[in-house]
Amino acid sequence: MADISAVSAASDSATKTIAVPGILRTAATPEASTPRPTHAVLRLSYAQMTPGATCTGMTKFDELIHSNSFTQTAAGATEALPAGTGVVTPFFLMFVSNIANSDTEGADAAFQSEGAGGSNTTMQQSATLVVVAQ
Amino acid sequence: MADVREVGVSGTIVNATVTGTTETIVVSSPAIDLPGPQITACVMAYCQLTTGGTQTTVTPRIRRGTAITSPLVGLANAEALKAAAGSTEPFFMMVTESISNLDQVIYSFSLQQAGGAGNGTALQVAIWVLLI
Repeated sequence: MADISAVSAASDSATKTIAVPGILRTAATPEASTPRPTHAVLRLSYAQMTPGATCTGMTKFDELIHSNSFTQTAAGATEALPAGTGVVTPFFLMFVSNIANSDTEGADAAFQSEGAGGSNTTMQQSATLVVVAQ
Repeated sequence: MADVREVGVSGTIVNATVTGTTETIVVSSPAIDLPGPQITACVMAYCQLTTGGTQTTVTPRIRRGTAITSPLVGLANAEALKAAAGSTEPFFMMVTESISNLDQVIYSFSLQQAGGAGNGTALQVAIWVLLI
């Protein structure tokens, strides 16, 4: 049975805006110290976003953070907008992977609003949790 | 290294009414003793709600306390329904906050419908609180 060896969490309630297509990132957690050599890292990200009028879907990427460097670890499929454009909608991403030979782990999620036309997609608030288990 | 210092979880599958357009607490965590003077709380909550007949939005909120007047953590934004009014759909929220100079904390998750009429029904709810 694995034990939780580290946790890290962060949230952000400052509005962020990007023209479609573009990427908005959730709050990035501090980097937690992790055990070597191999550990499992669970990432859980949440955001409330308003897709721009020309946004056609949302593609979610999980990003691990090592020494302030961001690495995308999963290229998710593009999800349809569950409530359409121009309205506040929650988005969610959870991902787990095994990591070897890393001293620290942090994470965020990158939500890419797809489409064209340059309308603005807004992120109202977000949060990310990292749980390291070994 | 950050550790989980305390955990509080709560949930139920007993139906509860979310009255009209009144903010309603649908689940509260247990009271959790703070393990130190400076703590980060990570709170995640979930509710499956059957929305009222003609409602158009639901505002999820996380509050520190058990009342709809308790301090708000994060923002209170009205979310458009993802399905026709009267359908069952999920609502969830995750926030963190730094807390200090408190002996105990309780967090609650509330929902508030708007835009129309009709009571909602919270079918199942859960909340977890991690003190880090």
